[in-house]
Amino acid sequence: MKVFVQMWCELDPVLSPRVDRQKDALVAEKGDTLFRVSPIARRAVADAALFAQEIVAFCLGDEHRTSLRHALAGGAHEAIVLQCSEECISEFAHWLTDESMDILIGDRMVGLVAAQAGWAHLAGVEKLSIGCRGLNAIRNLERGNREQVTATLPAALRLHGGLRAPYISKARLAAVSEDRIRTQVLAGSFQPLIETGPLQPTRPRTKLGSNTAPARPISGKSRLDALMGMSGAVRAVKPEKRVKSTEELAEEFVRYLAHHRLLDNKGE
Amino acid sequence: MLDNQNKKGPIVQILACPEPSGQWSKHTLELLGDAWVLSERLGGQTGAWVLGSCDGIDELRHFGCDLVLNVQSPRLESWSSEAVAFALKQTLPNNCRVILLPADAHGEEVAALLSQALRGYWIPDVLIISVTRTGSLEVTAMVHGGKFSRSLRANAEVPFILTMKEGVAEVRKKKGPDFRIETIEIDFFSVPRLTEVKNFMAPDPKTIDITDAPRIVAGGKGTAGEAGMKLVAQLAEKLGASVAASRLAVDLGWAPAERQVGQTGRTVRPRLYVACGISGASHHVAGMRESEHIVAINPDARAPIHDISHLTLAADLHQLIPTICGLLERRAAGDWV
Amino acid sequence: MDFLLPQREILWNVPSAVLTAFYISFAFVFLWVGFWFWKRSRRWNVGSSAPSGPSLGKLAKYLLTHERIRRDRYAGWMHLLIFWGFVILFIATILVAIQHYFHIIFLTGATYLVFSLVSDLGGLAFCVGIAMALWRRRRDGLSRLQRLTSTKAMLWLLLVVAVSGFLVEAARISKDFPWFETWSPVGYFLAKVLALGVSGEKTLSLHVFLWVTHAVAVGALFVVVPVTLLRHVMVAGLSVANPGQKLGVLNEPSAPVLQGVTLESFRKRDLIQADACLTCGLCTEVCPAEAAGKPLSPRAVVLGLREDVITVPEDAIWSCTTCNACDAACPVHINIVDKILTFRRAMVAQAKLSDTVSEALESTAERFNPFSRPNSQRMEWATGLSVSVAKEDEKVELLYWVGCAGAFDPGGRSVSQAMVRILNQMKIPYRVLGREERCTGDPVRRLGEETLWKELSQYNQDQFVKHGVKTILTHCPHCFHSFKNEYSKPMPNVVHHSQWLKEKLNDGTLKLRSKASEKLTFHDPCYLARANEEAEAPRAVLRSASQDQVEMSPSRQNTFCCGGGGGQMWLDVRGKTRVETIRASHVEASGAKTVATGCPFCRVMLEAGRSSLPAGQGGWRVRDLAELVVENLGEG
Repeated sequence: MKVFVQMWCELDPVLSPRVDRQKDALVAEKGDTLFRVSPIARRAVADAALFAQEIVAFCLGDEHRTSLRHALAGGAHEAIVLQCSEECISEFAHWLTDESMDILIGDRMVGLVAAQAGWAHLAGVEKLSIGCRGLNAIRNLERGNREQVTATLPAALRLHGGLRAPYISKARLAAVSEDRIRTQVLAGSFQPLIETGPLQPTRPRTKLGSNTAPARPISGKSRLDALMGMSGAVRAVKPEKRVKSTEELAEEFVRYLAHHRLLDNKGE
Repeated sequence: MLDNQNKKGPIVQILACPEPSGQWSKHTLELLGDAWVLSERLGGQTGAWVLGSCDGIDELRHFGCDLVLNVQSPRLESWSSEAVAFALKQTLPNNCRVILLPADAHGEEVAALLSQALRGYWIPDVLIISVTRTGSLEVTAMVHGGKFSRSLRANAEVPFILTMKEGVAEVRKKKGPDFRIETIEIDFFSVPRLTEVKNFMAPDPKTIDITDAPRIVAGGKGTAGEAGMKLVAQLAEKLGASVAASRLAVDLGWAPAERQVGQTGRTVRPRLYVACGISGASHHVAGMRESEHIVAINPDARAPIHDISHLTLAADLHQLIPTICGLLERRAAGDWV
Repeated sequence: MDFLLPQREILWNVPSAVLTAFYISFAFVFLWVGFWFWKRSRRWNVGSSAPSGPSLGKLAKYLLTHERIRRDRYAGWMHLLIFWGFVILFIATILVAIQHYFHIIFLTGATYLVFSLVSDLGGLAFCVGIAMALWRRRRDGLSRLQRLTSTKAMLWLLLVVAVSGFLVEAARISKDFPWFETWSPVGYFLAKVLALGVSGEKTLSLHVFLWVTHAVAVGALFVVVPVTLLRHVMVAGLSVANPGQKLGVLNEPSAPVLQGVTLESFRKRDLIQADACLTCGLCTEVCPAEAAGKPLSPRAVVLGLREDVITVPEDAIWSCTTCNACDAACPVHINIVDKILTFRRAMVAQAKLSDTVSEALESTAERFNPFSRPNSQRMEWATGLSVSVAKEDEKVELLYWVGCAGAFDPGGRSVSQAMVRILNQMKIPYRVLGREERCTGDPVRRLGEETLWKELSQYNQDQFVKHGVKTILTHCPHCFHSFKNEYSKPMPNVVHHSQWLKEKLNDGTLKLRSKASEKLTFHDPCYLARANEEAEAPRAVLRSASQDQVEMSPSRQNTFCCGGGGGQMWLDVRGKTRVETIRASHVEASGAKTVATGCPFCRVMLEAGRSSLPAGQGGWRVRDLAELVVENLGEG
């Protein structure tokens, strides 16, 4: 079983860096390290190590090079920096076919590769194992819903974003020698269909349409936070001075839940 | 491409997905809401694909849908992304410029397959879709985990396939004047069976891991023991939620260790977190601060939990919870609106 | 033989056949003991070697003073009697052997009298000591002692050896009752008793019988040395002579740990110490994790190293707070914390870590603090306060080290905010490193991430050198301990804020306007009182700041851990109760209204302990020394 694992670095989710408009890039505050190796990429290597005979870790572009050290320390046998853009889908699919790939694990790009090559594609994967007719996996559909699925090989997978990766000690990282990482160029042309604008901090959406006023006014910051999926320190709107009765509070509770569709229609 | 009589077919299509209970998911209604606003701006109609047979198709008319393309086939009984992508491609309305899909595992698999099939462009993590004065589409998509975004404009006339996360788009109630349902049957023999669903695993709120639970009711010191925790469990049952507990409650034996939320316990990110009798000490908050909706039931107005809650109820849970349960029962019986 | 001259014929009345049999069997016995020692030392040699060699001076001093053994008064007396009794008897035997085999007759006259008396008293002392040991091991005796059959058998055997020796002497004396043998009081008395029933020829055969019994008992004693507690006689000395680093300082592993635990993971010293263990259980008795019902038994960890296949439960390893109470208590200087850390390092290498520990380690590796906060927010605690950050090339005389807890933890922030208020009011020039600070490395080191600790300590030391720092002032005993004892030399002068405050109060530069009037007690942080023997400075500060103090029990060097060390802020091994709850109950019992402490972790843990007490208790507050000083500082 030969498994190709895409490695990449992502913005440390704890940070809130600034945008340098000149360079159209993020700027770290002094003392912060902007990027870290993606935990689900590391998790992919750890999961593959349970059943694969050969694990090839690769990254797209030199800026993700450090993630390959983590892959090697985590059990990958080979590490390759691929010089190509994300748009070189067909070149990439050809290369993988030439290399006899059985399973490809990575980010969104792998879905496009699978579509191009006619391979099976699964996203939201947890718990991967090899079965008699291909691979078995659990696909996470959010909110606790899951499916047991099978897929034929070759297959391209995306792991579920909530998975944790095992810790790789500094000693193990230090034991990986740099010359195990090689570089490979994949030729390919790419025609941009899209014109890309500058990088900017995400601004909250302005509300449009009617009938969407919430039962209680919620501050813009909390809306933004809710948008980001990070409900951090939110100042609840100051409660009215009048002490409310238990019945009133119970009603507030149920109305709030109903408004945000947190109750099933049956009210159960 | 579908050859339908209505040349002004939907200009924006969404994929409508029901929840296991049969209800339309909030996500679906959100996509429909944004689709409707967009199609108004583009001067066209809003369409929705519904796969397989479904009872609540009619309800979609109230949320902005003009046309439902109901694709029926035994192949669609259980989910297969390659079949769905094929179905979408085969039934794509002529005028359709934008396809909105949910950004969950199913939606993103279909998005990948569809973008290759249509030679379209898949933009993930979309935040806003707007139309420029020249009539071209401008999509703002989130990058770097959502903290930043870029806007993208179309160069060529290719369909945009957009995936949006839950909670981004907005539900809008709008009654469609002419609402139609078209039932279509497709032959899937040319679509290979690459993936198959063996089994759907529905979560039982009583037994699932609290880190997966979409809704949690948690009890702390204020429950003062078994009796209070029973109330917490009652409320959880009424809400289809899972029971969790603060460290203190677990230490005192009122709840098992796997239900402990906090810095040295589990970290949870449910849609709803109801904290009952929990003061909100930093080590507890560290484990649940990312919950989408936090409701605090704590009579002490100065308890730190109220700093992070979206809804504050300064009351004793021993009185409030029974009142809430009573209200929920009446609502279920249709006795209260 | 001249009756009037005090002496005796060595090996009198022992037939030569018996003697031959004696020599031959003892040859085998010694071979057996030597073989065991050789086999065991091969096992010890599998471990990696320690940088320093054994010190006979340490061993000699220890045997003379019996320092740690005497902490338990009963045990102190018991072991002094047994040890010195045995030594006297042993020397007596050597002297006798010299006289007999080298034909140097010196045990005569006054020498013989003294010799007899001392040997008899030694033997008596020995018997009393053994009897004390047996008494302690009765059914309702000391519970921490394991009631091993082998130990009981060994003690009875020792008693038999001593008593049979007396009886041989008695039989000899009862033949003729020489006048000088009154200088062997015990023997003489027993001879009188024997003479009541046995006389003449029967005495001679009784003597031979008793001699053989005694010889057999001694032989048996040697035989059981390797398989009973008696082995400590051979091995404990090796441990005491080789104590390793000072208390609380971790020994560095010889090579980076990349895999699971094997015998080779441990040092020779660790493996020797496993064999030296007396199973006395003093370590387990003082262990706070054990007291909280967690699965850790320090004794079991040490004994676990004796087995061919080392298995110590993971939960036990993660329960440890590295408070060092066990290391301080062990009578034979076994380093238990070191062994636990060897396990932890292996688990880190294998990623056998709970999610919360992984998160803390990853955060420290990426953001240089275990609280998952951006490093750039290191000065947020100082918002609204006047604190100067050292500029890039600035030379700093006094560096105030804030630490991760002081920067990111709400309880820790109270301490750092109080400290800068004091420093600013006193108008003392100082700087902080701000974003140039990185975690000292103590939590990750004690969780087992040695390489990360090295990187962090190297970086921090480079900062100290860059800024030419003369003195580091810190409010955290963990940072204090790391800087003072674990960072490689040379380091600037390091002072804990309790010591610094005491100095400033003494020389009058810090004046307090008022004194707290409520009853106050001090919780000694483990890394201040136990590892660095500093219990006086905080109390001196408190005396200036308060009128009414009480001591908690236990306190000072015997302080009971708050439960926050050893990475426990990010761990949670279930026990019957919690360490901090137990310590909170000590505070409760003291009757104090305020418990003062000198460590941000202690401050957080005591607060948590307070809220976990039953209803009606916990009506006291927790404050750091610095906060109490600020409360009584008055206007500047």
